[in-house]
Amino acid sequence: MAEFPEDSILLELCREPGSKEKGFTTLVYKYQERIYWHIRRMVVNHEDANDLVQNVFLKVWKHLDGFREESSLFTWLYRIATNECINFLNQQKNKRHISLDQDHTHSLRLFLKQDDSFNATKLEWKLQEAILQLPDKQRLVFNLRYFDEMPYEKMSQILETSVGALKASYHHAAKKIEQFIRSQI
Amino acid sequence: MKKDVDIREELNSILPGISWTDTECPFDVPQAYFEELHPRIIARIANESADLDALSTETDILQKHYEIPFEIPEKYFQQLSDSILSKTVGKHRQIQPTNVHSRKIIYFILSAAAALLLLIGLSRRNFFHRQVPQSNPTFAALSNQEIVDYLNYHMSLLDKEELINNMEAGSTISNLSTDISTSSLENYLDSADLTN
Repeated sequence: MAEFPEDSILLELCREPGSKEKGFTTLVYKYQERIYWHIRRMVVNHEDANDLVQNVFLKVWKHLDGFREESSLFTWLYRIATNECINFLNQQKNKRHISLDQDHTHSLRLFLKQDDSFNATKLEWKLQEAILQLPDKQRLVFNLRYFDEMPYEKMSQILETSVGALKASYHHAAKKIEQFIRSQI
Repeated sequence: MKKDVDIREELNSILPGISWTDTECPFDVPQAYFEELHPRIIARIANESADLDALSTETDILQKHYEIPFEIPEKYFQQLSDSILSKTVGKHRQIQPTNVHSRKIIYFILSAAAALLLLIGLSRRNFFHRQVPQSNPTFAALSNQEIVDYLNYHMSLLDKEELINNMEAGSTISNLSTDISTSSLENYLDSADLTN
């Protein structure tokens, strides 16, 4: 795995007009995969994730000069990505005149089953199906905790939610996932 | 990849007896996707920047003063005001430029205000009882219009404000005599020469 400079060094590079492009390029290489997967797990479809990840870095580029380091670069990137996901999912719901999470889940499950490597018998796909049953916010929390193994404190900064509420959300999510998987066996 | 101990322990505490596997996300990405993602992002930024440049050019255009490109018949606006006035105030009324007209109205209002203030001021000196000092016969001989014209010619706006302030300070209205009977007033009006 490639070694990347610390965020503080990246930000210094980005602030200097002579090294801004170099700094931003390094920033993209450092975070593109993590941001992509964070988005992909939420929107499921690769094309949508590809558009959104580009939107995220476009916003980063536009607002980099105004970034005052009130949060870490990592937190800032994840917050932008999360907002992009939530906005996108809400737009999709509105476009399809869907107001119930269940109907929204149905459309996401269709994307899941269209994936070339989809295999309903494999546990990882079952887990994905189970995750898609969750409301968006719970899904977000479960993904960040289970797949990104993110500490609650960091999650709290990104989602601007208390640690207690996030723990409760994760707890409910895990219970629902267990119920779903048991019902499938 | 093995999950952190924290994650495993937490899941075991939520769902005891369930063996959570180290399940990864099963989604695929196109081959060499991440190698190509960065150039794609840079290209997108370049495109957006071009849009921004175009936007700033549009802003420049808006900041410059260009004439409206629509054409109108020659002397249209002169004819338009003639036409409007002929349908409203009179068929052959000549149009006065708006600013001159406004100035005349303001001039008239100020003249009227000055005349009114003068009358009130004179009333303090029992003007209505015609107790004009005989030592100044030329002042008594002046007509109201001559006084107004004189004031308009010689007084600046500041003078008028000062006059108003002085009048307010003197509270002339409240000092007017209120013990004049109706019959006295009628006698005065009958005998007064109000032509001047």
